[in-house]
Amino acid sequence: MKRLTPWLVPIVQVLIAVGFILLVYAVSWFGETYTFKATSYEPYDPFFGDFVYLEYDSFEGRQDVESGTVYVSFKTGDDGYATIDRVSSRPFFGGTRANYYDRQVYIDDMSSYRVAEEETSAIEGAKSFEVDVDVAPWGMVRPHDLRSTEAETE
Amino acid sequence: MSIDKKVREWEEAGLLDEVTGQRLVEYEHKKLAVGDKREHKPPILVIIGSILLALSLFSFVAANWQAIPDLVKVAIFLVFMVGMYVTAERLQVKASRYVTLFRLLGVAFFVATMIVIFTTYNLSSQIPFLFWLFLAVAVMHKLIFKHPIFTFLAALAAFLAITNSFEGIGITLIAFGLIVTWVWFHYGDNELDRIFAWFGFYGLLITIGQYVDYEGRFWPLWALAALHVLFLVYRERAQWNYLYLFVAAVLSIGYLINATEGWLSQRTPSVIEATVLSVVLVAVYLLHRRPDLMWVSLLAVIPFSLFEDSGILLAILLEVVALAYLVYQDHNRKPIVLAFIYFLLVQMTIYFIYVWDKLDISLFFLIGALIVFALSLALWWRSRSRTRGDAQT
Repeated sequence: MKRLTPWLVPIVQVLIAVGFILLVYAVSWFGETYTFKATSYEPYDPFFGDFVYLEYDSFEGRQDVESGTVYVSFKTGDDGYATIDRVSSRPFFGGTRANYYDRQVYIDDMSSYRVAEEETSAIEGAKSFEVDVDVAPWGMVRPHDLRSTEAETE
Repeated sequence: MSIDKKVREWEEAGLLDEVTGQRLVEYEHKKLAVGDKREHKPPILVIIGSILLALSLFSFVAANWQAIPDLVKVAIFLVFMVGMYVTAERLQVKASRYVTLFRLLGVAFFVATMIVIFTTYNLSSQIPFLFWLFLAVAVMHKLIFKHPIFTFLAALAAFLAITNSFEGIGITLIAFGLIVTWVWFHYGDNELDRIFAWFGFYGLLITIGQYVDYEGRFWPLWALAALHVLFLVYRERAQWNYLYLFVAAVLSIGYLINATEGWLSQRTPSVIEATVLSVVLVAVYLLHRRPDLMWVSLLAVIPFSLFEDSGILLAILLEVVALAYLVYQDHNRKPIVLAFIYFLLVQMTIYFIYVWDKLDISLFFLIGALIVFALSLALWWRSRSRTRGDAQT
């Protein structure tokens, strides 16, 4: 046992890392997918980093909560795009942690999207998007599949 | 001709007896083996070649970082991390002074791996969790490898974790933080571990105040009172009364500033809360009856002094307490340096608060310096006469 103890450290650390990755994938396995309409205040340019910053129309507007940390859940609206279903200042099960100020809800993990190598050409120069977001039953969100809606609007 | 043949020849000729021959052979073989090992050192060219190879591998990976699949990225870092620990274990016998270095590198690669995971999967909202994990890992290193450097690593991690948790800590994270800090406190085998872990507890309690949206000015006092719980569990080995004194001293000065500076003090506290807090602060002292902690229980006055806006009441009170503590320490022949520093700090704070606006700046500093000088002179004179008195008696 004594000989094995030092190996406990790297083993536990590998398990932590693997656990985290599993947690991320679990969001997609157990979560529900919502499609959001998003815009970016600057066109996506692959030469300036891997991220595109997104804003959501459905997150705008007055909510009946105090500003600060809030918890939200979503529902799909009539137009097929997701909107906010429930907002509360107290945590509730399945609620995603967000910030509310200036009549706008911000969710950290959704406000920037990491663009994968194969997606760059499809969304280059675009400003308005559609994005699928997996929402886990425990509130974690994982945006994926960003598509440009530019072609349809023009 | 090999040495074995030569020895046999000498034996047959009667020049050597069998035992000496045997020893000669063994000696020569041993020498040969050592020489062999030495010659196994890789030639310089191979070393240079492998360094170049490693560098080019690095640049290749860096250049194609975007194109590498997410899981492979993480795997690369994990392999490096495990490699560090393997190297550390292999060096255990050969070069034991590098073992800790490689373990530290292992921690570094663990943190790097987690950062890679957090950026590739865009988990920016979970960053406080990353720091708590860092703390957990550092504590694990300390408990298993027992090197003092991991204590400092854990202290750094705890500091980062707590300062990053002020906004956005959840109930799971609080539980996780409490467990890790407790493990550190309970199993950490030296004083330093316990001191840092104690401050970890205090910081965590402060963040819990943020979590429950406590709106008031007494939370730091509540947290200090709550920490007295530790004395119930660690009755016999609790030698860290001075931590409570230290925090109490810092808090008293903090509240003095808070009470007097109009732009800091916002709302009048609730009378009920102030009363309960005062009772609790006195009660914890009466419960434990540790003589040193009597001074902590004096914080019970602070909640009430905040009802009065000018802060003069609190200033006078602190002045009296600081002086009383100094005299008490001196009277009991205990070290008075810290008591004196506290006394000096109280003087300076009061001086700053009430005189800053009223004097020309240069005059302000001149008089301030004079006060400090006079007080230090008094201390020096006191300690001199004290040692003389000791020598005479």
